[in-house]
Amino acid sequence: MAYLEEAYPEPTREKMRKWGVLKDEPMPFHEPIDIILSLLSSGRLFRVEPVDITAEIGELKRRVRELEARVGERRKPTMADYVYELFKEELEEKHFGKIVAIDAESEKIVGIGDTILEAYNMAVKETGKDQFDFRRVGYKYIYKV
Amino acid sequence: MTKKKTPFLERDYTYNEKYNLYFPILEILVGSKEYKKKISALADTGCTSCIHLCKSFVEKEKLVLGKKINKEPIPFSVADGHTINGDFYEIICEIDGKEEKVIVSVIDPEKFFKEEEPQIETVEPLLGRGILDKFDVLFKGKERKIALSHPE
Repeated sequence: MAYLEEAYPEPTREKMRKWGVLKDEPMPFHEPIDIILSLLSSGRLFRVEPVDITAEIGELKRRVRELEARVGERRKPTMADYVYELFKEELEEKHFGKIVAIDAESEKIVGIGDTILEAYNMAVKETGKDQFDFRRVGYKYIYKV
Repeated sequence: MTKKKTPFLERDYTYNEKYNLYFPILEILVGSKEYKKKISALADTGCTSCIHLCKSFVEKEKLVLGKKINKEPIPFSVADGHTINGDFYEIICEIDGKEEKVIVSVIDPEKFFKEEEPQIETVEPLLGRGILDKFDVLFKGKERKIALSHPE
């Protein structure tokens, strides 16, 4: 049976203090009224300073947009995404992690390399054009910054 | 016994008053001939691009980036988890006196976060793995120095 804190005899309390079980400081809250008084004095229950509602709404809107952007896919699929999807299985099997250059007009993969420059140079040689679309095989992004 | 490499470039870390921290910042020459411009870039091993810039920095410094090589916007994953569209430019960059073709990535975070009052600061240009991986890079944390040497 557990004793109340006050019921321990002094020698036992002395030992408990020595072992670190009992601390000298009193318990912070014994009564619910203590908690309410403490919250009132710290200003956490009632806000004392004036509230800028417009700023708070603005901040909440910003946070919601940020979370929406994080959860939902903001990018709209493009022609390059469509071409990538056509070759996705084959690419992910053979060239996972590499960068591919996509020619959206001819719907072809025209360059593959470890870097953008490698894929780009290969694509230029292949097609003679100077602008392509790029994707990293198996990833939603090309570079991390 | 292994031979000690002599770095071709060694720089002290730069002190940032705002953050009260030292950062490995290197100066690079970007562009070719009359458009060559010196910019300071943070050596960042977490950035997988070659050189990474923000659009606001490009406009502020009036950098001539050369030829854009992508048609549609390219997705970039930024450190806070967002995916932001950006562009690639092929430029000439001078490293250790040698001119090399590198790819510069440019994103526009201010456009992505359409705020009434944008809170995003202009991000320091980054020197990423695309360039750092060409050399042996030594971050001397205790001495607050960064050293670059040619691999054997």
